[in-house]
Amino acid sequence: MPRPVNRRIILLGGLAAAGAAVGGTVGAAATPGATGTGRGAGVRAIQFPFTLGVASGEPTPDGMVLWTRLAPAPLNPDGKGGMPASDLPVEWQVATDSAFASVVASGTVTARAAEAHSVHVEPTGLQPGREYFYRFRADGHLSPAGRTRTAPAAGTSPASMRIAAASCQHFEEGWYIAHRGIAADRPDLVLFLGDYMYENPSGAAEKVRGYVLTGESDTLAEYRHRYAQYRTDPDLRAAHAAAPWLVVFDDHEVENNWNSTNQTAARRTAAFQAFWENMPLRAAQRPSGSAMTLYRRVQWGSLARLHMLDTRQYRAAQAPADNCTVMRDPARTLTGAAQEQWLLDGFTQHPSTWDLLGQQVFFAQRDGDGNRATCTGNSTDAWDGYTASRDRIANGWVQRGVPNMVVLTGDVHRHWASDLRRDYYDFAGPVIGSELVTTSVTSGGRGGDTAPPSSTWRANNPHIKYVQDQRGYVRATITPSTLTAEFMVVTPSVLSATATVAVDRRFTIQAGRPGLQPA
Amino acid sequence: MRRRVALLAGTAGLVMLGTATPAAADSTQCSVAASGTVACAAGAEFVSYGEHLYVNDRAADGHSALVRYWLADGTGPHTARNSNGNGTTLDVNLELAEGSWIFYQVCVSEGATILAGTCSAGVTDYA
Repeated sequence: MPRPVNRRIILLGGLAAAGAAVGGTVGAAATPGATGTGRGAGVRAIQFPFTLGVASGEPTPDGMVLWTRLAPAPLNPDGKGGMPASDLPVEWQVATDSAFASVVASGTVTARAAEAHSVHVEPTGLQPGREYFYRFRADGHLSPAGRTRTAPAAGTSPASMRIAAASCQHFEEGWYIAHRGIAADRPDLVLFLGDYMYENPSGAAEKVRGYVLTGESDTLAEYRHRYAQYRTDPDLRAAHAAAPWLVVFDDHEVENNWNSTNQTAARRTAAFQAFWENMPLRAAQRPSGSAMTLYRRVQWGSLARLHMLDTRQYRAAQAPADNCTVMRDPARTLTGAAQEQWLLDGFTQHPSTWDLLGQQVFFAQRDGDGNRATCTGNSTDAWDGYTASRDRIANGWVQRGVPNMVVLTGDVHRHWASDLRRDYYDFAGPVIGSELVTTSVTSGGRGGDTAPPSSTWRANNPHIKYVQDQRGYVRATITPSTLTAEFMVVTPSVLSATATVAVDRRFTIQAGRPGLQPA
Repeated sequence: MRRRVALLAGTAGLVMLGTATPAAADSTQCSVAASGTVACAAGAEFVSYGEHLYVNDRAADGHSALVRYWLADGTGPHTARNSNGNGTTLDVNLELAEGSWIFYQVCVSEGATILAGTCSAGVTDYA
């Protein structure tokens, strides 16, 4: 097999040349195992450290976040990625072209050992509404280049905006075909809606690959290691490099079905720290111990506004199964009071045509027996388990005149498309928005192994327009007049490394006319 | 090379070397004493020149030496097992891109089943 040219030999422009001043011997190339030997510490500089790729996120009209994490040995069991205990300078560049002939911003940042040698750079002063390219250099090694973009200027509207929404990417349960599709799409923005990483032990019945550390992750070192192993996937790295991302966590980044009452501060601290270190998040999202402010907004000119929610950290404990009294208790919350008020306050302003609510768990009602008097089988983890909280938010956007609300959701490993109502038992009542639920990237594996809803179930839930138990992602094209949603499905399955992804179903939503229309 | 195999050693060449000594290793691993085995009953060595992973059976214990490895293309664990007895070496001839990494562990196995607690911690090396 012909060997590729060593990237270190190709010096592109100022950053590559300037890197010579950064070099030096900083530690071992390989961390020895407890029962073996590796190349000695201090013998040479670190090996290629950009094994986890590059990423960007959180675009504003004049900037974004640029991310990388140095890890020349990403699977070393100590979670340190083969890096030494010392900090390391990392240079960064932003250019208007992929060849970096026109560099418009640059600088040096310190990759700190205390943050797993991750860096989060926030360049400013860039032009609104345009594409940029970025890269890093550390210890003489040049990173792959990433593509990113700034948001449109306030009050201006692009002709269109393309987004992708994905969630739930268990590493062992399939190949990241969906990310291959997202990378090929090169959207303006990727929303990752939770379960980026699974903390639970290895053990899927069918799997295409396996963890190095097979036990449950619950320490900082273990969380760091697992994120690193996920990032060894080239399709995931390609999707990160293709577009800026907006990320929120769900439960598995900490522990299955966690809530505000059932986690130790130590575990939350470790999980939040590792999440921060491995995601393209702004300093505003940096955790403070066991707390992390993850809810925020991103404005896309006058075309769209994205509200990214945290539906885990502040939620009340899940209700007992089938218990309507608890599920409907108005004192319970999914968002917490502060986040709810922040959201409602935001609804009073209407700077954009479309409002997109990016969040984790199923928003619309799913009531199998259609009986208002019971809650049999209703999800206690989704908004159905916190109906008063849902009502306050849904009524909030209606009362405040939010013009076109679309909720974007992950979590449930199936595609769903649904209209939203204030009262789901009133089939003739007004539609107040729509929900697009993306299936998993891989979680659940092969797919197609759950029965579709029965005709009775569908009759009791006529607002549900589409369900598909396959892996994939959702992509949408948004214009001032129309949102076109495409539900992408992997064929034949994520168990095949050569599987492909294609449109399974398409819906449109017209601005000013709530509700999904088949397309 | 991309995803040519899932959980088994695929197109990597496997050659028995008998008791021949491979070239000097860049890194080595020894299995852990557990499940009735002695320390270093199985060994593994990686030689970056030509990307060879050597799997050594070093104990006349009736067990095999098994290596598990993960690659930079997101695949693994690939496995290769030396079941030819004490004093033999299996040569796993890999084809890795220059500068690419491999993370590997060596374990003692009964057939394809790894004996609990025998795997080394693992080490990263480079092509």
